[in-house]
Amino acid sequence: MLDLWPQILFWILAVVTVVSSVAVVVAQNVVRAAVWLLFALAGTAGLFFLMGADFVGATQLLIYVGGTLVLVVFGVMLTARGPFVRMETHSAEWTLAAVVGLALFGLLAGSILAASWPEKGSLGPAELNATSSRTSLDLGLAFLGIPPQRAGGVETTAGHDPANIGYLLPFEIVSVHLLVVLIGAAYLARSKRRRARGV
Amino acid sequence: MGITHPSWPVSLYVAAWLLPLASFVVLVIGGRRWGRVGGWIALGAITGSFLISAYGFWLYAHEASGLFAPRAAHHEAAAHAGGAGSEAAAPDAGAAVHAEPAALVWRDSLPWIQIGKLSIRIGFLVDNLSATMFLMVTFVASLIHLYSYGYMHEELHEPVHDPRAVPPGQPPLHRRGRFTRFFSYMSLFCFSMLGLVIADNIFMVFMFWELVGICSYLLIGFYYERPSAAVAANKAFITNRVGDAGMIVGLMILWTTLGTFNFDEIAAKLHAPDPQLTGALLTVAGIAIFAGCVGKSAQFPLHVWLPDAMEGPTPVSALIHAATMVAAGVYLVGRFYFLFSPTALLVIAYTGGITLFMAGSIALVMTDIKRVLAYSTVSQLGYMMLGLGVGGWAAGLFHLLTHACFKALLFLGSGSVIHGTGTQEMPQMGGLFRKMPITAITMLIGVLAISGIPWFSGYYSKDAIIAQAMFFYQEHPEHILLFVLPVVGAAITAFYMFRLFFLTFTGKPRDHQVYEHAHESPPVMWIPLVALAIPSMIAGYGEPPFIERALTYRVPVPLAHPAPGVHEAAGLIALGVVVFGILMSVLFYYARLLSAAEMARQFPRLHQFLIHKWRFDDLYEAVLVRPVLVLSAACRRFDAGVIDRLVDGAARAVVGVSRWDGWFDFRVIDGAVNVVGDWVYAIGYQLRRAQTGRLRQYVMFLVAASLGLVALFWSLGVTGVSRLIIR
Amino acid sequence: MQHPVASLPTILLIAAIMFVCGAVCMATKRNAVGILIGAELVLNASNLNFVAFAYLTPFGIDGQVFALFGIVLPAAEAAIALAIILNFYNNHMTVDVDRATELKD
Repeated sequence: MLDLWPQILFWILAVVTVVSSVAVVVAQNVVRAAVWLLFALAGTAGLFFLMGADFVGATQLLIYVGGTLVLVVFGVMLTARGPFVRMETHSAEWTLAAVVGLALFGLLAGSILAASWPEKGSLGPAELNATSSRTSLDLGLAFLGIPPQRAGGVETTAGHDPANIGYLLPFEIVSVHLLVVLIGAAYLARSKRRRARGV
Repeated sequence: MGITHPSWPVSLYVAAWLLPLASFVVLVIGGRRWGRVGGWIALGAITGSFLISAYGFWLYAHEASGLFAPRAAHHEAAAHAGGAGSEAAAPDAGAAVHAEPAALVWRDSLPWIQIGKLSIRIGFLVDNLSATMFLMVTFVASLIHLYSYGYMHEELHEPVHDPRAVPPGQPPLHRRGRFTRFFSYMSLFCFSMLGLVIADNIFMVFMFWELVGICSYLLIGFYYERPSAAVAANKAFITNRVGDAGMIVGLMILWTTLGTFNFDEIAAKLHAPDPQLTGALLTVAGIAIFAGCVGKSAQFPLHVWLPDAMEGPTPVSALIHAATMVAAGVYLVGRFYFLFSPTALLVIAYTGGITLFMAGSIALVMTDIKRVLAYSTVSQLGYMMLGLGVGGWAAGLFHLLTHACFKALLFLGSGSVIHGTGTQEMPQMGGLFRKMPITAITMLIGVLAISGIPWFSGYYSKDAIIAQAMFFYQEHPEHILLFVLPVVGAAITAFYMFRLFFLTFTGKPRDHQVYEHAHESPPVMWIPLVALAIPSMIAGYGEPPFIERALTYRVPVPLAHPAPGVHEAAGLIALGVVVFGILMSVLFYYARLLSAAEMARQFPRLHQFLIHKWRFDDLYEAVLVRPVLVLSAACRRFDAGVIDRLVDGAARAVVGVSRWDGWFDFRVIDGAVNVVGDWVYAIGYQLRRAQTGRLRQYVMFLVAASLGLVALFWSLGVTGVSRLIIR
Repeated sequence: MQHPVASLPTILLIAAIMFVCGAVCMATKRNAVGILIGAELVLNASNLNFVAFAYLTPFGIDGQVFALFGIVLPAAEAAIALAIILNFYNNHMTVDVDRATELKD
């Protein structure tokens, strides 16, 4: 019974995520949509944990749920003036969007089901063990170009190749990117009146 | 010519040669700014040349000590040297008398042009002839520069009025003074003339020959605003071209047959046992070279330019058209004497004879004082040519040197008269003796010298020529004309020269305005007159005359000297006809017992014939100028009728093609481009409608497009889209 | 040996639902913040796909690295988008994207 907990948890989280996503679309009030988004993102983070990606899941919680969503909520609050909180959309548009969305879903689902996915073979899934989880270490090693040394893991390279610097460079680029974005956002968000006063 | 000499005497002469060039350069660079200093620069340069050449001449005489030795020794030397060509020895001053007697020659040369076989050197040759000529040229040129300083003084005043540059009745032309320019031309001329004298090859001589021609052109046309001066300058230049064409033919014959331009080498090759140039070709070469001399020395039939050249300033007439440049032709004949075959010499003699008689007869009736002197110059040059032609090498060149002195004197005197009276017409003068005594006396000396009165230089030189002609007549009786012409010419010369003197200086003043205006010239002008009068008197002294000795000392040209008796006889005959000529002149123009006007009435045709200068200008006009003009007109018509029309037609055709091309461009090319542009614009305009600017529609488009893409893949039969996406 | 919590197609289908919801959200919301929310949903769906591939395919940990980028980049995007929205709001006093048509012409 204990073995089934991950599956049960998975399905609970999957339902939460899907329902919240649909609620985001359906919600007319943008504040509510934001709250539904919070649930959807949190559910996804839970799914990440279940799939052995504990570091990514933590990052999702920290950045997405804790950062981005707060930004969105701030945006909602700064722009939420009576008429804009609820902006009705024509039903014709709704219909059109629904048809197109369903068609897209049909396409994606068809593709997913039609594809023959590569099997992981005899490999077992990563253990869901927070204390002994090694994904943080694996990720860090991967950033440094050292492939994971998990038993039975598919080794693309034997040992450490000095020329293989891994994901360190992209990581640094992303860091700088974030910095640039923060500065740019701060610049864009500056109020003109304040700037005029400053000058 | 293997003998090397210490080249420093040559360097001396080269320095004397280059001084006027330096003056020319300085004057050209400084230009008008020099003012009157320009005159001093040119004068200083040519005087320096004179002093250096005097020293050089003294050195030459010293080194060839015995230059003034008795004639007997000289004869012997000439006989010996005759076969030896011009191989020059370098005799020591002491050993000269006893050693192999040959002419002393200083030479030096630098390589200049080397093209294939053609090797031309800048060479200098100082022998008896060039040393003497050099001295004469620098002497006369120095005095004439000094004279010009006074004569050209009005060019210093700004602006200069030139009433003769415009038709009568109009206000005179005002222009800037050209004092410095005059002296720069004079310096250039001196440089060219001296280069002509000391060049050791015919190529350089030809070069300087043309340079003096250019200077002559520039100086004749000095008052180029006057139409007559401009025409005269052109006439002089073009007439000289005719002679120079012949000279070039001569040069080509020499080059192709002998392969050298050097005088010494040509002489050596001609005297070689088996010369390459003989017979008719040698005669032709001589006559061709002589053609150049005919042009330069204004001999019949190319004499027409010299009287017109009197349009230049009088010092120019004295220096270039009396003393030096026109004598260059005679000089070249003398320098190239070994080239002329007996036939060529006969041609030279007859040319000179005809010239001297014709020019003298024209001088009889001229009233312009400078024109009388000009025809006199032509006539005297004819004497020189005749003297050379009948074998009197020394006689001809002797006359050249004495003539340079007294003709320069006469021209400067006439310039002084013109300067004092303001006119050139002798009928307006008269009685000027009292007004301008120095001019009158010095000119009288010149007149006596040219007429051939004993104790004046002209007597001795002309006597030498007539004696030579008489000797020639005795040997070749068929050529009696060559003896008669100079004798008659002597009488004519005496007649017209005394006519000039009487008309100008004696009798009653015929034009009182001119007479009142007349005044003696300033010292700067009469000092040269006096200085030239002295050699005009004494240049013929000596037994034999020292100039003749200077010319002939040990010169290896075979000379045929007349017997002593011939000399006396010729002298007596010449003196007789000269006295007759003077007597006639006195009767006509001093005593007024005979009337020249009466004579003119009695022989109107002869008078007109002489007044019109034997109608040479008319003849040339009819034979040469008119046909050329007719031909030119025909060419012009051809040009206008055929060539122009062809060109116009071609142009019109091009315009037509261009117009059609323009239409094609506009309609077809532009049209095609425009159509494409219009299509693009229309498509763009339609596509632009898709840009609704609505964000949400864009999202829909994105989704719909991805759906459409997949549908497209399916319809094209691409299966396994998912696999495609994953792998 | 544990079984995977779900098969790969199951997870991909969940992600597909999220993706379609995000797309429809972008297509229907007139509020600019609503569109941003839709975009976050789409990106989140793709992250879910990456992690699923890392979990159930032999490609190793690379999927998780991509997912990290997929988290960080939308964060940056959200910051920029909100700044733009705020400026737009300051200039037009509205957040209706249907009114933002200046770039059309």
